[in-house]
Parts: sequence; C-alpha cells; structure tokens
Amino acid sequence: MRISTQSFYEQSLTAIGSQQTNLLRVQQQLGAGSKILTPSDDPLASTRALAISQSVALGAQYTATRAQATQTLSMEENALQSVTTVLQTVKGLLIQAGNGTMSDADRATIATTLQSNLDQLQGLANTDDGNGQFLFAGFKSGSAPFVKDANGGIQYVGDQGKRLMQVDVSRQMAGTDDGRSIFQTVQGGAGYVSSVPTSAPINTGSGVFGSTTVVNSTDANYGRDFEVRFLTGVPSQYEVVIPTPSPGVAITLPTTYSSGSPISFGGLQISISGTPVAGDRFNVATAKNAGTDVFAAISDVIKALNTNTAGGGPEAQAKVLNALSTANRKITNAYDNVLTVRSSVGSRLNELDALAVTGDNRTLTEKSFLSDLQDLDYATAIAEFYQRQTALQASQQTFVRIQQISLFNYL
Amino acid sequence: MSNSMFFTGLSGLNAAQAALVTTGQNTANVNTPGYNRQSAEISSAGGTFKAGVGFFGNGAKVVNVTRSYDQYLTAQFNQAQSSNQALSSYYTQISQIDNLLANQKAGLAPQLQTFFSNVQTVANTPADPAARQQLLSASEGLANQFRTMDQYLTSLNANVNDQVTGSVDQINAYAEQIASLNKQVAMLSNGKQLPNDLLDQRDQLVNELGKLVGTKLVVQDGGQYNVFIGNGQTLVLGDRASRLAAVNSAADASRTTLAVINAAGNKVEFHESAISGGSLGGLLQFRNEALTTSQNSLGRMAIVLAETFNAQHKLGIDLNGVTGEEFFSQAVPGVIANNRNTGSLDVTASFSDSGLLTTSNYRLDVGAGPSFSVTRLSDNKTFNAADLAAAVPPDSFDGVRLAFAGAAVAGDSFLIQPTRAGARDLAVKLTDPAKVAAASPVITGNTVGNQGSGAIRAGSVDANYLLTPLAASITLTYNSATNEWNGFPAGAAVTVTLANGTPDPANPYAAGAPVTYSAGARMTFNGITVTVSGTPLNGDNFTVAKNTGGVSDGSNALLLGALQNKKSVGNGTASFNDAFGQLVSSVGNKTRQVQIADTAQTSLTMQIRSVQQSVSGVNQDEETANLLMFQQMYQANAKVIQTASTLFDAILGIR
Repeated sequence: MRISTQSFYEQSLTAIGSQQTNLLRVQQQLGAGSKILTPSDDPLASTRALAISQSVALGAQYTATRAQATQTLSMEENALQSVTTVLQTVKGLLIQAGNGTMSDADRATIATTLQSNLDQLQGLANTDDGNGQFLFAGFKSGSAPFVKDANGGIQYVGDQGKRLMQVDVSRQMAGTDDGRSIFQTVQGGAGYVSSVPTSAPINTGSGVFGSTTVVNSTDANYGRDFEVRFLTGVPSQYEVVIPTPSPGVAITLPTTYSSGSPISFGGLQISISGTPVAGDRFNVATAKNAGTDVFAAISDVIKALNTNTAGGGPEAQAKVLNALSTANRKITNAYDNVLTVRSSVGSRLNELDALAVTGDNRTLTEKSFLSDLQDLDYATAIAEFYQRQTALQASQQTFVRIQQISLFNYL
Repeated sequence: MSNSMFFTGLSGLNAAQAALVTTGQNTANVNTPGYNRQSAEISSAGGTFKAGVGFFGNGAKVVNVTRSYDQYLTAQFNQAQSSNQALSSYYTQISQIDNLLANQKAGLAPQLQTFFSNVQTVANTPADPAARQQLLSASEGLANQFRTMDQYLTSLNANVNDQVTGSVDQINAYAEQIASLNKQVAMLSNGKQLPNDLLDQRDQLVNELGKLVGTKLVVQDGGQYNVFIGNGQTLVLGDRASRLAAVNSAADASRTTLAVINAAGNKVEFHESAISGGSLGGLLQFRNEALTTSQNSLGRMAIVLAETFNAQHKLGIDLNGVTGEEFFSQAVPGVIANNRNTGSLDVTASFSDSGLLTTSNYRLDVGAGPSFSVTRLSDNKTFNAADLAAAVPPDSFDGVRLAFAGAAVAGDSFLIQPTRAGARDLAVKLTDPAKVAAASPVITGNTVGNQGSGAIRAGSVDANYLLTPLAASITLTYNSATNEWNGFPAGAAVTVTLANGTPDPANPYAAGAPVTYSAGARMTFNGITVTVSGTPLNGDNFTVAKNTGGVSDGSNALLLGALQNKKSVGNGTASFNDAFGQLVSSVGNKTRQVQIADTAQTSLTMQIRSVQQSVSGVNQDEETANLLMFQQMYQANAKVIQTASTLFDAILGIR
C-alpha cells in the first residue's frame, strides 16, 4: 500500500498528540491527587462520591451539633451540681434549726443563712449560657426565668419548650431542661408531705407530727390526700378525712388520741405527739399536691424560723418544728428531683459520647470509601506516567528516524 | 530512416518532459490539502508501415493527464469526517458542562451542604444572631452558585448561537464556490480531458462543507455536483447555490437556528432534527440534548428548593413572633408563544406541585375547537384535553398549571419551559436575620397540678395552620371516666392517627366533641398536631399555646434542616443532593459516551483517510524515483537524437 507523505506526517502527529494527551492526563491526575478529574472520567464514582461527601458533611454537622449539645448539657450539669450542694446545705441547716436548744436569735441566724442560700439558688436557676441566653427558661431564654413577684415569692416565667437538637441521623436530644421541671416538680415516687395549715384557721395546740411512712401501698385510698382532724371532746379525739372535694369524707371513726402512738390510714402511718386541741388539723398530702416549688418551701421555712417563739410556750415551738419537718420533706423531694434531672443530663452526655464514637467511625468509613473512589494511587499513577512518557518518546524517536529516511539521502 | 529516428527521439523527449512536469506538480503539491496525485498517460504513437518490412514505431505520445481519484473512497471519507466533526463539536461543548460539574470543593454540592449545615446551626442556637446571619450569607452563596452555573450554561447557549451564525456564513460561501466551480468545470471539460485541479478544489470544498454540516452529494451526468442538506433541501444545484440564514427560532427566540431563504425571499426554518453531521449537527444535538437538560435540571433543583423551603419557613415564626415570610424568591414557568401564532391567546403557567416537575420542556398545541394538548418534548408523551381536564387541579401536568386568556386559534403553539429559569431566578428574599422563622408557632405544656404520668410532645403544624392560626391557648382536660379529652376548639374537627399509624375508626371527631384518648396517637385540629403519651389521671391538663418570646425555639429550623435528606425532587425520588448527582451522572455518562464515540470515529476516519490517500496521495519517494526514471528517459531519448545526429553526420562526412 502506498503511504502518502501527507498521511505519514498526519498520522505521526496524531500519534504523538494522543500520547501527549495521555501523558498530560496522568500529570493532571498527579497534580490533583485524584483519579477523577471530571465526572466523565468515572460517572458512577463521581455520583457515589457526591452522595458520600454529603454523608460526610452531615456527619460533620452532627458532630458540631453534639459539641453544642455537650456544651449546654455540661453547663446544665455544672449548675445542677451547685444546686444539689445548696440543697444539701439547706437540709443541713434545717436539721440544725430543729435542735431544741436553739434560741430565737439562733434560728434567725439560720434563717439569714437560708435566705442567702435561697438567693444563691435563684441565681443558679437563672444561669445563662455565657451569651445572655438563660439555660432553664425553655424557649423564652431571652429573659431570666425565675423572678421575684410583688409578694417576694419566686415565679417561673419561662415556658416548657424543649430545645431539641439533631445530634444524629434519627436522634433529637434536648440540650437543656426547663426550669419548671427542675425546680418546681417532684418525681412520681416522691413521698407524702405532712404539714399544718399556714393560714387561718391555724392550729392552736402543741401537736407535732413525726415522719410519714408507707405501710401498704396497695390500700384503696393510697395516693389520695388526707387530713387528720381533731374533734371536740375529752379525752381528745380525731378522725381521718379525705378533704377533697370539700367538706370531705371521714374514712375513720372518731378515735381517741394518744400522744406518740401511730395513726394508720390509707396505707400510711404517722405519729403525732404533744397536745393538739379541737379544730387542729394535720395535712398529709401527696408530694404533687403539697406544693412542689422548692423556692416556696425555703421561703416558708425562713418565715417560720423568723417567728419569735419566746413566751409562746410549746404551741409556738410546735409550729416551728412542724414547719421544719414539712420543709425538710419538700426539700428532700426537690433534691431527689434535681438528682433525677442530673442523672438524665448525665445519661444524655454519655449518649452523646457513644454517638460521637459511632459517628466518628461512620465518618471514617465514609472518608476511606470516598478516598477509594476518587483519590489517586500514586504508585500506579507514577508507573503509568513513566510508561506514557516512554511511549511518547518512542513515538517521537521513530518519527524522527522514519522522517530522516528519504531517497534523497542516497542521491 | 534517421529522420524518423529524430522524431521518435523527440516524441520520447516530449513524453519524458510531460511526465517530469507531472512529477514536479505532484512534488510541489505533496502537502496541498485535497490534492489528488496526477500522472501523465503516455502511449505509443503507433507505427508507419514500410512495405515489405513491417511497422516501424513512431515513438510515444502523451494522451492525457489524469488524477488518481476514487469517488467512493472520497465519499466515504467525507461521510466519516462529517460524523467525526459532529462528535468532536458535541464533545467540546459537553465537556465544558463536564468541567463545570467537576469541581467538588467549589460546586453546588458543597454549597448545599454549607447551607443546610447553617440551618442546623440556627436550630442549635436559634437565639444567636450570628448563626442567623451566617444562614443568610450561606443562602446567598447557594443562590449565587445556582445563578453562576446557570449563567455559564446560558453563555454556552450564546456560544452555540454564535457558532451557528458563523457556520451559516461559511456554508453559504462554500455553496457559492462549489456552484461557481461547477460552472467552470462544465466550461473547461471536453469530455475526456478534465480540469484536474479544479476538480480537486471542488472536492476539497465538499469536504470542508461536510465538516460543517452533513450533506448528501449527487453527481450529475456531466460531472456537476449537486449538494443537499437536511431532508433533501437543495444547497447547490449545478451552478446555482441556495442561501441559508441564521434566524432566531420561532419557538424559542433565545436560540439561533438554520433557515433557508426561498425564492420569495422568505426564511423557512429547518427542522433541527433533520440536520445532522458536521460541527453544526453536533452543536444542535448538544443544545437539544445536554444543554437543555442540564439547565432544566439545575432549574428544577432551585425551584423545588425554594418551594419546599419557603413552605416550611412560612410555618414557623421569627424572633419577633411573626409568621415566617418567603425565604427565597423563585422563578415562574416560562411560556413562549410561537411568533407565527395568529390568535390572541395568552397562556400563563404556574407551579401546582414542584415535586412533580420534570426536566423536560413542553409544547402546547391548539387544535380545532379550540382544544388543547400538551406534549412533553423529552419523550413526546402527549397530555390531551381529557388528561388535562381530569388532572388535579385542572389544566395541570407534571406539576405545572396553565391558565388561558384570549382567543385561541387552531394551529397556534406555545413552548413551555417550566424549569429553564429556575436557577437564574433563585434569590434570597430575606434580609433581616431576625426574620428567619426558626421557631414553631405553637408550644405545648402541662399544668402544675397534673397527677398522672401523661406527657405531651412538642406540637407541629402544617399548611392548614396558616388558615386558622391559634387565637387563644387551649387546654385539653382528661376525663378518666370516659377516657376522653375535652377542650378542643369549638369550631375544629379533630382527626386522630393512632400510634401504629392507622387512622382512628371514629375519625373525624366532630367540632367540639370530646376525643378518645389513645397513648401516642396524633391528634390533629386546625393544622396543629399534638401527641400525648403515658397515663394521665382525671383532670390532668395539657396546654397548646401560641409560642411567644420563644427565642430559643429551633423546632422549625430542625424541620427546615430535615429537608436536606427529604426526597422532594422528581415525584419523591430524589433529595437535592440526589438530583444534583443525577445531573452529574447524566452529563458525565453522556460526555464519556461522546468521547468514546469520538475516539472511535477519529480512528475510523484516519483509516479511511489513509486508504483514500494510498490511492490519491503523493509519496515523495515515489515521486523522486519517478523523477529519476523520467530524467533518465529524457536523457536516453536525447541520446537517441544524438545517435540520429551522429548517423546523419556520418552521411555528411562521406565526401
């Protein structure tokens, strides 16, 4: 076959051109460190890489969210730790105040200390996140959630919003808890709270209640509120009434009172000592109905401790002791509640750690897959580079050689 | 006798000279494109009879100069090269889109990820103005990316338009030259001796024309070339050339297309599908296949993003407690009336469901009656009048709704481009970070005195909420005797979906009627859905209230963030990232396919070329050998003359 001179040059140039293109491609791959320079190089891998890089980005997003959740939960944990310390202090003070040798002045001193603890507690309840956003305000984090009202009581003005965060693919976690569920709630299993009326008609006798114990939680009336009412008559008698709805229904017959002996009703047992008089009442209410606000409980006991007992006789003493018992119970309940919230915070922090581990593993797997898809194997690429280079050189050299062969050389 | 020897030598001398000239011509044109090797045809000049002796030869004569030309090989080569040009120009164009999608670190995918990651940051810290500002910046970045990519594709379209215009000028020039060569060839041909170099020129022009556009060549008796393009449209007929023009397409003025100028001077548009081959064919194919689909699929992503994001954003409330506004502003479907329409019908289109959008364009045809039918151009599926009427809402197809005004005339048509402008028109409407509606409009809670363990989950709202927003907070009270909730708004029916996902058999609960409690069931009224679980006791209360001052509520932002993975594109088949992946995959595959076809076609063309050249091409060594051969022939014939002269001198020397 005749080779036309023109097509010899054309074909040689095309061959060299395509060798150069191949070489340049490997060089670009080496420069970019990637096998895929444009999607057409490997459409399937490019599409997979897009999907995986989205997963990696989501993973990073979840990691950032977990960091944020960890931060707020740790702040909450710190605040709640201080809260438990304060509540322990308060409980200690209450026990101290119950000591019979205390004078009015001593109790007033304790009351002052309690007041400062109360203020401290309010401060903790109004903890902010460092950016002026209050941790325990629910969604209404723009303003302090616990404020003093006109009567000096502390009110919750936040809401019950749960600040959910997307911490993993299908896991939303609350980054904080609202103030009401921390400071104004008791757990379902919290014990009965006994108290005496604080508003008229108040007790006039010197009856002091002891601790309430549960003896039979399957009793038909267990879980309801009770009232021990002292009746007229000598020797004094009492009956146990379920007070709501008013005027209440007696569940025991009038019984003769004996100081210190246990009174049983509705699966509970309580002892009353001292000398109650007719008309005196002792409330035995579930923790939920007895008032669940820890601030109110401390305020109440401060008020009681500031009441002078000098010259008041055993009746005045009884008032203080009863108030202390009530407060003690309530604060124990509140303390348990805070501990429960704390443990929930702790388990959320643990879960975040666990999620971080699985998330990191997932990201690692995805990244290595992504790398398999698109990253260049340098050894192969460099080998290919030399191969292509050799091929190009061969094309060039043979071209020059053949081009030199001409009949003219021999004329 | 010696006289005859003189003449025989002279004829050889002449023949050798002619052959040398031809060899010289070949050598001179060794690199001339389209040149076909020529050779001088030498034959014996016959003999003179000498009685009793026989015939004495009269030497040689040159009878013709012919070119080594094979019509079929040339035609095959032209055809192959035309296809090759089509593929190369397609490849050149589509690889520009391929390159656009190549950058994974600066493309659309990372912008989408950044955007949604910023949505998540707002969900995490809704009260943080910096997070909100960042979201706005990221959304600007995203919208900008969409617009930049769209602009790039638009500029590719403009580029195609320019090339079409340029090609038309060139085609006209070639056609005229071929016609004029036809004329010259006819004048100069005498039937046997042909004007070889003019023929070469004409063949070369046909070849160049074929590089621009696929043609069909018919050789008439008498060697005239008739050239046709498209569906048999005459381009050159003998010595007459038609003129083509580049015109704006009647159906879509943004596209330049081909028309032929007829005898009356009117420009008649070609059917683009009829044009194939050559760089022009490749360009048109690229524009109809790859460019349209790419631009439409970007547009569709932008539209679905804007629609879904806006819809969810409007369900939330912003930092000031105000219902969310539109976050993005977005395109409306484009309707282009064919400029040959005669009626006054005005068609407007809107989106009825962005989730159903496809990446195709549509053509609306007005038939007799008038009746309407819509054709999906990607697969020619037709929606006839009955389909359109039966659709919900009426006159809608694939997520687009049409509205008509004015008088329709049968034969009119409209081009509907639902998604073309989607990416171009995507912009961020929100400018105030405080107006990012991150919070839910409702907040649920319980009351202090609740005895039971019942708990209410965060409420959610749907589009119906916007019609009947919560005016006052409501309190649901549990009645243990009847296991029912009281307190739903007086005017609202309640629909309950049980925890296992099945609807409550008692649905719907009439307005004001109590609703039976089932733990974990979703109770929906006025667009609000609430769920209570656990064991409530008699008289326990749960509240559903307007969310006021809830600056740390990121629940709506969480729902906005969830759109990232939601399959909202293409009738619930793809998330935004998937949709982008589909675009990358389709462009990548098409580019690869064209690239491979181009490579194959190039090597095929090279092969045919070398076969054609082996017949017609000039080999320099061959010509050198011929040069030597004819030189020696010349010298030998000169020797013959010298010999004759010597013989003559011998005679003269006898004195």
